[in-house]
Amino acid sequence: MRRQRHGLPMRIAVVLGTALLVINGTFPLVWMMLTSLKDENELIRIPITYWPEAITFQNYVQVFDQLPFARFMLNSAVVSISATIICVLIAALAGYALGRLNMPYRRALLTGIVMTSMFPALVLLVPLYRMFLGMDVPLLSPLVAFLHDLGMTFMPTEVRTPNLLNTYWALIIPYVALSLPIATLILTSFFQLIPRDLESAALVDGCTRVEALFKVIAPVSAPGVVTAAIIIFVNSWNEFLLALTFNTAQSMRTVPVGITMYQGEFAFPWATISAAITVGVLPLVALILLFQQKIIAGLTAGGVKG
Amino acid sequence: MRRTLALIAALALVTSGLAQTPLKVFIGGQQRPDVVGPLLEQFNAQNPDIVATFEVGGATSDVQQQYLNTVLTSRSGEIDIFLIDVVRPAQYAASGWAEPLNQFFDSEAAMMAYLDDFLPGPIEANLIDGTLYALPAFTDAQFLYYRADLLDKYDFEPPTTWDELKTMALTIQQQEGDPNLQGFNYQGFRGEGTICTFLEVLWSAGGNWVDADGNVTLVTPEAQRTMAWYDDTLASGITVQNIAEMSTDLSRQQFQAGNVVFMLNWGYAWAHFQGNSPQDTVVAGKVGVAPLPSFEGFDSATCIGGWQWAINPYSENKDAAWRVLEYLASPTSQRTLAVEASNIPARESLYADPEVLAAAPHFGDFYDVIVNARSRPVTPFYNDVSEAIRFPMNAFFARQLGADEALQEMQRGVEEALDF
Amino acid sequence: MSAGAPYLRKEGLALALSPATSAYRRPGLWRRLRSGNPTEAQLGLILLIPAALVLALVMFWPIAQVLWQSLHFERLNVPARGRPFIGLEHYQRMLWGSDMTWDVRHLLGWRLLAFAGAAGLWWGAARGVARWRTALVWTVVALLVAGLWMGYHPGEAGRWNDARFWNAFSITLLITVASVVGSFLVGLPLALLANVESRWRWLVRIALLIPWAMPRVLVGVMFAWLFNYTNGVVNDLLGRVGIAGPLWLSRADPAIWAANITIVWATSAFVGLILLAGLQSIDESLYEAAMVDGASRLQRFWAITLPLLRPSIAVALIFRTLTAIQTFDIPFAMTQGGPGRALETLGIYVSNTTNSLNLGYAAALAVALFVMSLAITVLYLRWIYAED
Repeated sequence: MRRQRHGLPMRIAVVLGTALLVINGTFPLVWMMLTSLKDENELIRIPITYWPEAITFQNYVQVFDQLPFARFMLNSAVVSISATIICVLIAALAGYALGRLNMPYRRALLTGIVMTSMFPALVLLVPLYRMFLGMDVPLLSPLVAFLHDLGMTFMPTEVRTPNLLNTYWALIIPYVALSLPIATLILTSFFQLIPRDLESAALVDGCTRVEALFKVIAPVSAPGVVTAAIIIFVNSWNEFLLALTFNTAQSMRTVPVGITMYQGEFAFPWATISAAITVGVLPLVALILLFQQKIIAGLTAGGVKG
Repeated sequence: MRRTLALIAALALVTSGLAQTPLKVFIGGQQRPDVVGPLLEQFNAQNPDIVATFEVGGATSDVQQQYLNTVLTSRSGEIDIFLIDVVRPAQYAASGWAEPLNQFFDSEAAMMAYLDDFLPGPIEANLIDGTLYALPAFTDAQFLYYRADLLDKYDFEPPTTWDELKTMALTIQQQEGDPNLQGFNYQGFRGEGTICTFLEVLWSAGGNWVDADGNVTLVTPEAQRTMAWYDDTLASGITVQNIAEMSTDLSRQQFQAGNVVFMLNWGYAWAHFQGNSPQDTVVAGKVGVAPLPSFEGFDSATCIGGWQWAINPYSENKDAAWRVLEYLASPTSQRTLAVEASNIPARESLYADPEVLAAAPHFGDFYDVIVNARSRPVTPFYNDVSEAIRFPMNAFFARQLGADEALQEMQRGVEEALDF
Repeated sequence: MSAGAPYLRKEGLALALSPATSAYRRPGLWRRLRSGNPTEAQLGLILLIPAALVLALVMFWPIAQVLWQSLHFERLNVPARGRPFIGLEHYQRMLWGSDMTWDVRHLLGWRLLAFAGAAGLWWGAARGVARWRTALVWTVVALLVAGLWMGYHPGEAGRWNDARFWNAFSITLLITVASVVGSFLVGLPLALLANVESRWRWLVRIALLIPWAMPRVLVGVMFAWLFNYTNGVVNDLLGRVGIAGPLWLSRADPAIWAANITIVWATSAFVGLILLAGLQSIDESLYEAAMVDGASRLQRFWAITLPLLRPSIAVALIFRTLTAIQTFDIPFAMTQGGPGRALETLGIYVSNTTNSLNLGYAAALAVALFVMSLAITVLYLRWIYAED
């Protein structure tokens, strides 16, 4: 990577800008962490205090004591990771098709894919709930019932979808569908950017299409794939409404829903919730950071460009 | 191999003989699953043919309602029994979302005799046109909390009229000289609590949101008097200017930090003030509870609260569910809820119960207030009516609407809501 | 591409890429699939099948139900009226009013703006900068919407059937424009900074991700606390600098500011992330070549960075706008849509309507949101894929 010689004013601007933006991004989280180290009573003092008077880890103990938070994190992790992997694969295929292949009606297809994000999740909730509760499959069920009545008694009287509530699939499947539009759009635009010569050069050099895919296209599209994966992961991790409605058993709850369960009807135990948020967010951030660094490192080491 | 098969067959026979009905009870996170859980376990022990488990939902009324809406709109029998807010039974009755309970009694008279032990307020909400839709789990009301130590210091008795309250609050504020001390705190946010803020003063002026013929009466001298009172609280300085963002718990926290003289709030606050709270309390032992003041010549009034048990009409085990319901509404269970969870009992007899009074002596004070608690509008369109009243009220507190404009909007909104 | 090399011919695609000779008739789809020689379009369709399948199975049914529902009357707490088919009556209630009159002076500013846009496009087309078709389409749209429809308003004795909808619509529009612009203004510098090779890059990346990694509901509650008049950090800091803090959440205008600041804070990370990925794909050699040619930093930015970022900007723009149109979590968590009706967005209005069990109308509102989103997306996509 280049190392530019920045002039002094430029450097000052960069440092200042960086400082401001870092504060902007981290201040609330730092505030959360400081809050989580305070005793609850400190929070309603006027004037407010910033640094805790006496650092206590009691809130963190409370987080895991009061509710099975570790289990919540496991559930969120399983659901988010699965959704990410599945969604990235499907979106990569779609992105490749729409981004590199000469397809007719490309804009219309893209619009169609993006259309599914245009409805608020709230109105889709009841139909989705019914689907995962178990319902008659619209075309298949009457057909099978008809055949049964005709005398083919080995046929069942109806075909129902299974009751998937309170399983991981109840969340993984909708999350894949919910994140598919954005993942597809991102990957489409990234695949578009890859110059055609790269591919043809590899093919001329004697690669098969599959080899070309792995050795040439994949590394170059890494930023796009990583971005899409991060977005799908965070979207799935933070999703609230479906997680609240579909997985209601205590053992199947996810982190965002779990965090809200510390509060009472009117009471909001801020210190405990701050601790819960900190615990819930930090692993996420650490994971993403690690992931992103590794891929970017791989990219620069490969020296694929030029 | 044959032995394993025989074992399996034997097991199957045994378990099929003990066919257990699984039931799921849905309660919110704030309804003390740690207390309800053991109750259900006791029930299971006494009734081996039923296995009742509970499911904990989100911690606020909104979130729980959201979930129940989804389940019931989908006609799902996933949960058999649920807790609903006191304002919901009428809506549930109209939507067919609560199984009528009359069928489980031998006769009309038997049902009325059973309901006799309950307080009139909750029953009024649950008994609609002679059909019982839910049984009370516990009740609640808004009380006037006050700083007994401050009132004693200035030789004041708890106020019986609003004017008295204002005078006392002003005096105490001026004499104490603390800029952070609020004279009178109540809920002005956009949420459900604000409708009580409006109705309680309206009732105490002798008015009501509807008259005997069913006409909506929100643009009346009584209503104007209500708005004038609230305007006064803001103008005179006994109430903070950001009252439009004051939620129930924010009020409670500010009183608990010692910054408020008089406050309107629900029963849950008491336990917090005495120390059973995540936040520290400055006011333990210094809190008094009184009925709400009224205008000269009129009776005090307060809003009723509390939650009710209901049966899902799409449940496949309604008879079993009834047995659980009966158990949960029984004096024993209610006593447990009162003693361990500080839930205000819905049964009259429990207010004389020594165990209850030992655990919560303030219930004695509460009784006078609770027995006169009035229902918020009992209508299938409660959601719309509530929004029609509290949104303009919130706008009034936010200085977006004048008093008369707000009342006009309330009137129009409620009329539209009921115009079906 | 040599058409003679046998290993290339096996790939089949090479065949498709090579210029077709007129005497050679292309085999049909099945033949092609079986022999492993699909055309690009056919391969593309095959690759799209998984995506189409997932979306069709999971989303098609619910969306179809919503569309169908919006044409029916259904209030669950009025079961006696059943579920009659009422066609577009919901939309009429939503968009129209009683005693409607037409007046030239109503909403004159907006309408003139629309016509000015049309005029600009005609001028641009004449100069060769824009396309004639775009100018024509825009003129038709301006005539219909701005010229005709916007002139209607309720007269003296009438009023909008659903004033609450129009209020929610304008709030949503305001929040959409403000938060989209805001999140780009914050997101682009964030991305640029995160791309700069420096020791603190990891810190900037954390700062980039954290706001977005927090669950939306909690961000709302947290900022409501930060903006609290008496106990909030914001007013405390302002007080220390000597400025009297405003009544953030108790008055309409400050509340809109507070909500937008919160939304921008939470979503600029998303924009930044996508732009960062776009920045990382830009070839270094382009900058080096430009520097050799003597281009200044600003020139490099305008001429190289921005144009090459266009696809990323477009993606971020589309999804940021779609999310902004549906804004619910943050205003609801902060003030439940208040104070008054200052933060009642369409998303909140839909939620309230659903809770009132007015399912038909809620579906109609959702469809209104959908139409708005669709219109904007189509415009955006035309912009990115203008070359098509």
